[in-house]
Amino acid sequence: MSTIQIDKTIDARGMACPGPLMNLIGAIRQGQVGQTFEVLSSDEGSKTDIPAWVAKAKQEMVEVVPEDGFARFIVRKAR
Amino acid sequence: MDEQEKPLSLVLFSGTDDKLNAAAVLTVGASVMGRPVNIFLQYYALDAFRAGNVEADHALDPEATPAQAPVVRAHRGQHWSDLLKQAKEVGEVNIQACALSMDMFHLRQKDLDPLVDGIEGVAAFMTSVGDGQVLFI
Amino acid sequence: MASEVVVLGGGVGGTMCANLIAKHSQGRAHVTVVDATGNHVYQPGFLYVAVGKEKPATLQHPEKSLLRPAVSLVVDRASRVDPAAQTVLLESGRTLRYDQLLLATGSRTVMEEVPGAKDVHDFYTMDGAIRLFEALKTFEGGTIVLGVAGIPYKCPPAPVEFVFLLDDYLRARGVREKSQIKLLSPLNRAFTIEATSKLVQPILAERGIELTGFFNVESVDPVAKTVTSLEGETVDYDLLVLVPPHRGQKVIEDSGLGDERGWVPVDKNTLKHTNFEHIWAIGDTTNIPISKSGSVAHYEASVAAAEISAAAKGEPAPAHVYDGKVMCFLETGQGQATTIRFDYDHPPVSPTPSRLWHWAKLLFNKTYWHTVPQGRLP
Repeated sequence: MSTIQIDKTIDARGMACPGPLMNLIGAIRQGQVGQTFEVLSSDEGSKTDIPAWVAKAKQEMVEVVPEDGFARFIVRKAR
Repeated sequence: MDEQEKPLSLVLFSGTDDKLNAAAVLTVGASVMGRPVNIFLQYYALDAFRAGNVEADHALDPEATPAQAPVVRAHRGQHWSDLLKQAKEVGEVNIQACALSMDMFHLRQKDLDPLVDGIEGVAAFMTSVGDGQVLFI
Repeated sequence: MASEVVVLGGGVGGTMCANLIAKHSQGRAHVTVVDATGNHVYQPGFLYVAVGKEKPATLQHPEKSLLRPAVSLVVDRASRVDPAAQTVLLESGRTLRYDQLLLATGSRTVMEEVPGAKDVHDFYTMDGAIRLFEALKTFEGGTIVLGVAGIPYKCPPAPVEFVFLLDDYLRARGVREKSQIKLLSPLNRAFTIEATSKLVQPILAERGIELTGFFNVESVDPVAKTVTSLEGETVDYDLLVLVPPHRGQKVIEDSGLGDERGWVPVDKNTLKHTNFEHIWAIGDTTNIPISKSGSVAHYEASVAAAEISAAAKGEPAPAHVYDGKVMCFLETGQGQATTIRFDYDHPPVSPTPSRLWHWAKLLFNKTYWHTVPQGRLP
C-alpha cells in the first residue's frame, strides 16, 4: 500500500461542532490546490456528508480508512 | 455579598408535576444568572425524586380546575427533571433530600434518582440558605 | 517571589482566567492582563444590535471594572512574543517578562479577503451590526441573503439565529410580505449539528425562510448584486449579510506561535501549547477543531487557570482537564430558543424550542457583567 502524503491532519473526533466536514471545508478553502487533507471523524454522519460535499465541490475523495471507533477521510484539493 | 451571589433556596414539599415544573423553571433562571440554587426535598417532592419514579405521572395540584388541567397537561415543555439537569450544567445547583422525610418513607440514598446530590437535615439546609431567600413550594 | 503570569487578551476567556488565577494562586502569582483597548465587549450582543434589540453601550464595560484589584491591566497591543526569552513586546515599546503566558487573543474578522465584499453587511463587529441595523430600518422589501464566507467562524448558531430574528423584525415592520430571506449554509443542512438542525429546519420552512445547502461563499459581485459559491452556484441579493473569514491576531502569526492563520496548536485537554513551554491558549485562538464560541473560552478558562496556578505555585498539573464542554443558546425567533450541550464524550442534545430558553438567554446576557468575567459561573 503506498503511503499518501498528508499535508494537514484535523483530528475532529468527539467534536460535534462545527463538525468534521466544516473543518475539512475550512482546510480546503485555506489550502493550495494539490494539497491533501485528512480529517479524523467519530461521527457516523461524516460517512455520507463528507463524500457528498467533496462531489458537489468537485474535490477529490482520495480514500476513506475505517478505524476503531472512527474513520479517516483523505481529500485532495483539486481546484 | 451582592444580590447576584446570594443563593436561591427552594424547599420543595409538593410532588405534583406542575409545581415541580415551576420550581425547575425558577432554578434554571437563577442558574443562568450565576446564583447558586439549594433545593431541599421534603414529603411528596422527595417521593417524586425516587429512582424510577421521576418520569412517572405525578398529577397536578388539586387546585387545577377541569378547564385548566388539560391546558397544563398539553403544554409540551421539557420535563422538570430535564430542566434541573440542564440547570446543573449551567450553574451550581445542589439538591438535597430531607433526612426526616427519608426516614418517613424508609428511603436510602440508593433509592433516589441521581439528580439528588445527598441527604441533609434541616439545620444544614438552613445554613446553606445563608442570607439568601427561601421559597416554599 | 511571585510568578509573573501574563494574559494576552481581556475578552471573556482572558478576563475570567486572570481572575481565577488571582483567586486560586494564594498570592504566589502576579497576573497582568494586556488588552488592546481596555474595553470589554460582549460579542453575543451584536446579533441583537443588528435587529435593533440591543444598544451598543450596554454591551461594553471597562475591562478594569471586571478584574480583581490584584490583577494588573496594561492597555496596549502585544506585537511580538519571544517564547525563548519569555518576553512580550508591546506596541508602545514596553516589554513584559512572563513565567507563564496565556494566549486569549481571540479572533479577528477579515472581510477584505472576500473579493467584491467591500460594502457587504455583517454583524460580526459592533460597527457592522450598527450599520446593518441602519440598512434594515429603511429596507422596503427585496431579497436578504445571509452567507458564510470563511471557516472557521465564531458562533455557529449565529447565521440561523440571525435569519429568525430578521424574520421577526421584518414582520414587526410590516415588510415581511415584500421580502425574501435566504440562508446559504456551508453544509447540506441548516446547522452544524444534525439533531439541532432537525429541530430548526421545520421552523425555517414555517417562517418561509429559504435554505440553500453546500453554499460556501467565494466572491461577491457588488454591481450585479450576486454572490457566488466555491461549489459553482450564484445567488442574487438586494441586501447581503456575510459571516466574514476569521483569523487569529497578528501577534500570533508574527511570533510563530500558531499557523499562518493565527491558530495556536494546543493539547485539547490541558490547553498547553504543543511546541513551547510555559504557554497556554484558550478561546478562539486555539487550533482545536471545536466551535469558536464564548462558552468554549468560558469552560476552558477554569482549566487553564488551574493549570497556570499550579505551574505558578510549582505544583503538579491538576487532574481537572477540559472535556470539550460547550453550551450554547440558539434563538428560533418569536420569543423562543433552544440550547445545545455537548462535550468530547457526549453527543449534542437540544430541547424543543421554548420561551424558557429565550428568557434564559436574555437573563444570561443581562447578568453577564456580574457573573462570567469574575469566574462566578462554573
